Amino acid sequence: MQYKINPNSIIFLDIDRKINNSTTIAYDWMTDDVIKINAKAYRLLHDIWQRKSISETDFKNYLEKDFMTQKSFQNLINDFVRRGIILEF
Amino acid sequence: MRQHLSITIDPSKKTLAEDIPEITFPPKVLFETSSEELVGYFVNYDNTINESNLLEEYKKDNGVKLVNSNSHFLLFYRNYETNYIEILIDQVGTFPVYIANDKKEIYISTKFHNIVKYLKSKNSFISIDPDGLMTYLLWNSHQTEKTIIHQGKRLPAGCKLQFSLDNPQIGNITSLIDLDSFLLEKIVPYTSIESFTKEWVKEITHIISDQLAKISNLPFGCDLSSGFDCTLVAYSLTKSTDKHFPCYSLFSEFTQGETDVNKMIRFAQRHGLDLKMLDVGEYMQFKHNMISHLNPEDPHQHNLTDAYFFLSKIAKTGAKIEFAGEGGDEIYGSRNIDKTAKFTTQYSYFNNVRYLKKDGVENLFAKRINEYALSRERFNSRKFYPLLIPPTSGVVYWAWGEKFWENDMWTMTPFVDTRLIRLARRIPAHIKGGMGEVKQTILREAPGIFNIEMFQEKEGLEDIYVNFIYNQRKLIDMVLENSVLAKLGIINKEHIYTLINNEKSILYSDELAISFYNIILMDWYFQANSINQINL
Repeated sequence: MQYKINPNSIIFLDIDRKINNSTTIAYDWMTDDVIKINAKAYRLLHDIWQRKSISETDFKNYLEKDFMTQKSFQNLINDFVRRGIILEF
Repeated sequence: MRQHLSITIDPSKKTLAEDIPEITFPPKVLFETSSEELVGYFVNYDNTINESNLLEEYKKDNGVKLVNSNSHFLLFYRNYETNYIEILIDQVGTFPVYIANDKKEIYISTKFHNIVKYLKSKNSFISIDPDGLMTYLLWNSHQTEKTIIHQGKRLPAGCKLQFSLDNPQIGNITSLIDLDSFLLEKIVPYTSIESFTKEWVKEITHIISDQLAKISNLPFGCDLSSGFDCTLVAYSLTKSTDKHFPCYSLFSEFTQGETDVNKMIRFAQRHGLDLKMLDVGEYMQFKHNMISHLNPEDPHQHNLTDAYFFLSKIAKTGAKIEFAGEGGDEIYGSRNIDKTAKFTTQYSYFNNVRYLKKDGVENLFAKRINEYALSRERFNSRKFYPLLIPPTSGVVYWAWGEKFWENDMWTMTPFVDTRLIRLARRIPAHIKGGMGEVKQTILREAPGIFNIEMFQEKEGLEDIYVNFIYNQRKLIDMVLENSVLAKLGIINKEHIYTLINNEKSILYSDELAISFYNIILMDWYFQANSINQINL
């Protein structure tokens, strides 16, 4: 399975770092709601966006970098997929 | 019609005061010392500013306190020793301040088209600003210094333009709004809806009393519709003054869902309001003669609208102040300010996604402008100007400030006040839902104000714009024939004609019809003024 950013749901701007300490908001079009993206989630999403896409085999890199368990990382990905912020393909 | 403020500032300028005309409201102010001059228009409503010593107030922190107070103003500060000039407006952005510059001077006007005329008089190149253009065409209001032309700027709400007379440039615009301190204020939500509602009505009445005190004996009126916002303002006015004031309402048989005349009459009767109704059915159907009233000095063609008809009628009665319910929806979303206030650029992006992709407005534009409209380049080019008030609640001034000026009228918006925003942040946490639901939940607890029949979902006015396509075909053909926007590759004329000729097409939907209306009128303005280049 590959994962990529849904460009309708999040935009990465220079002010994210300059003003908002590497946080941002994303839009959940399913519920018409805004979700705060904290610094840890921002790093993940920004990296996926920069790399265009990632695969499940890349997960371990993030686990090491952010000291996350496999389960909490998978939950984070699943949540973003459910909200349409990350697209599976 | 009152002449606009127009002032050219160059090193030879001895004083600014003589170029600042008197207006009825807010009052003109002037403070001078041997080394400084502070002139403009100023009124404070929350009694936090010593208006009799405004120069000292300004100098304490270079205007920060003034901007963060509940005041309406436009101020020009000049320091003769440093040769610096500062121009500052309030946090709502009540005054339209347009700016352009030539080599050794800066030009300021309260009328946008004066900037175009100024640039033309200097033989300056004028080009369309793509971000400013799309902001207008999609009616996506956000804080920006950009206008529809690249060479003309607008001072955003709560901002200061600073420049040296030795080298006048318009690039130094900074916000003085202290969002961080506002967000750090400790907020304790109410636990009881009843207690909150009681305080809510009391605070609105308090704010209106403060505003009435400042307008003194000037004649005033109040907007009225069948919704909750104007009606709450009108009710609070009756509790704040014994003076007689008329309530004005525009209505038409085609828009009963937005303004239900019978509900409004019953509300007016209940509270002893003097209701005056203006039938704008002709405007709602777009059956009036638009072509012969096109104004080459107004990109937005205000005088073709029902709202302008309404404004000019009220002005002719001699009224100088009109109380309005603007901001009366957004205020109920103030609990989310922590989540939203620092991310207004991202919000603007999502709104553009909604209009272009979800609503299908991309069908009106050419591929390259659709790509630009959602590009990082566009949103990265924007500066961040924070706001304490909800971004859309100041739109009435952003869109209509020029016309208020011309008609010597001032709009009073009690909901656009940080005292009320502070209170709205304390809305009981257990009230769930969107702004409309929160509003109804709170106002249901306000006994003796609203009639039960008013607690129904109101319709918008958007669907009337489809009438523009049906009834203004001559104007549409005239504009499209010589379309600047088509020549610049912004719209696809052939595709638009395909949509026009198919009444089942997406063009005949609310969102597209509004944008299409904006496109036609803006295109005509560009044609009329030979503005045919784009900075893209």
